[in-house]
Amino acid sequence: MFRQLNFAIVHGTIALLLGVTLLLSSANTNLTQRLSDFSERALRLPEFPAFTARRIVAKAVFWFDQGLNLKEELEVLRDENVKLKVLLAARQGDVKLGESDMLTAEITLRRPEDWWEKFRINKGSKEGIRPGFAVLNNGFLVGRVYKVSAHQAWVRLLTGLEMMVPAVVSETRDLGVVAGDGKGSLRLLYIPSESPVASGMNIETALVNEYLPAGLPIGTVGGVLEEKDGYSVFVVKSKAQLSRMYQVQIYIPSGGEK
Amino acid sequence: MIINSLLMWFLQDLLQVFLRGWMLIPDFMLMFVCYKSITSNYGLSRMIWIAFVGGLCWDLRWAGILGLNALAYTVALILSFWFWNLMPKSGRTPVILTAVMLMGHLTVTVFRLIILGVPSHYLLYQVVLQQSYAVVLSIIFGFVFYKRGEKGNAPQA
Repeated sequence: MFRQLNFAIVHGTIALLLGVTLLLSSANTNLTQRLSDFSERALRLPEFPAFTARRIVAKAVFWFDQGLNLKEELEVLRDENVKLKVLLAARQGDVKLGESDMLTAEITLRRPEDWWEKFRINKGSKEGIRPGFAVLNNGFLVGRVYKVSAHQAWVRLLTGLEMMVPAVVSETRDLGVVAGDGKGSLRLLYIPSESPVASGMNIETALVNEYLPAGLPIGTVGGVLEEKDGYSVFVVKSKAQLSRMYQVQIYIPSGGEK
Repeated sequence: MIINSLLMWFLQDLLQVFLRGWMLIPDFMLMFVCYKSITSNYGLSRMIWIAFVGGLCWDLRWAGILGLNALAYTVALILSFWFWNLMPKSGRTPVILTAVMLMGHLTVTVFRLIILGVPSHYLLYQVVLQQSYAVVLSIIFGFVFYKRGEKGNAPQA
């Protein structure tokens, strides 16, 4: 009995040490990410019934529980989308929005330690996604694609510390930069203190490149966070559901698809 | 035992895929392994490695941090086994088994919260719900233990 117990203690100790070693050495490494991606691919087939059942249940919930309300909301969003496209087309002669497209993707991995930094989606280069494409939720910019494989891609969130997007305040045409604080909040930087920018004004992207066109909504101006060296920092209120994001839309510009 | 544990892991995985975004699934596989380790004569050493590998697979599929669940599952299993064997045979009742199972699951939850922190209130709410589902599962395991009349048959360390 004691021999068996000693044997278990040895095995337990080895397992614990191995666990601690893995935990300390693997966080955020590329190998971990690759293994994680591989496991998702490997389990895609056996998990297919669960995915299918989920889709069916989600559809049933949509139609039976919230059908009417969601349909109305969808109509409003569709109209808003059309209006935005028209507005964008008018502002950006070089971006042919009529030929652009939105691709809906599901979030398949959002790691708690990178909660406000990045997440993985279930669409990749085979579906026409390229690094740099804009990612929207609820019609508002939430991030950009930065890494793409065949059937999945990684998105860097606007709330992360590594993302900065040139932005313009629609009403005053003041240019600034929207950046995250790594804790779920957005800020509008580099707005001159004398500028008439005020709470409630709309913020949208300024032209960066063809993948991130001007005019994509980011949010609205909140209060002044601080004033320093003649410039103000504003809080940005995004209408994207950053904490409850299960699906996102990828903005695929004309010529961006395969 | 390995096949059963693998099936439990797969069931847990399928349910997590099915309910992703709606709720967090309690750790079925861990609870099953804890239950078997304290109520059957299967060697603890093997159970430790089954729990470790199960946790590691969960890390690969869902957590994205190798070792997080592997370590948590191993610690939970060892603690559960230890607590169960602290009890005299006469004290190994279904209620105690339920408490030990729940403690094992709670260990994993607390471990994850310590390592990962609380990224949002919504996620914390989901974790609390997950723990409440684990209470129901623990009661079911306790009931199974009672029905099988396994009281007093657990192996001694």
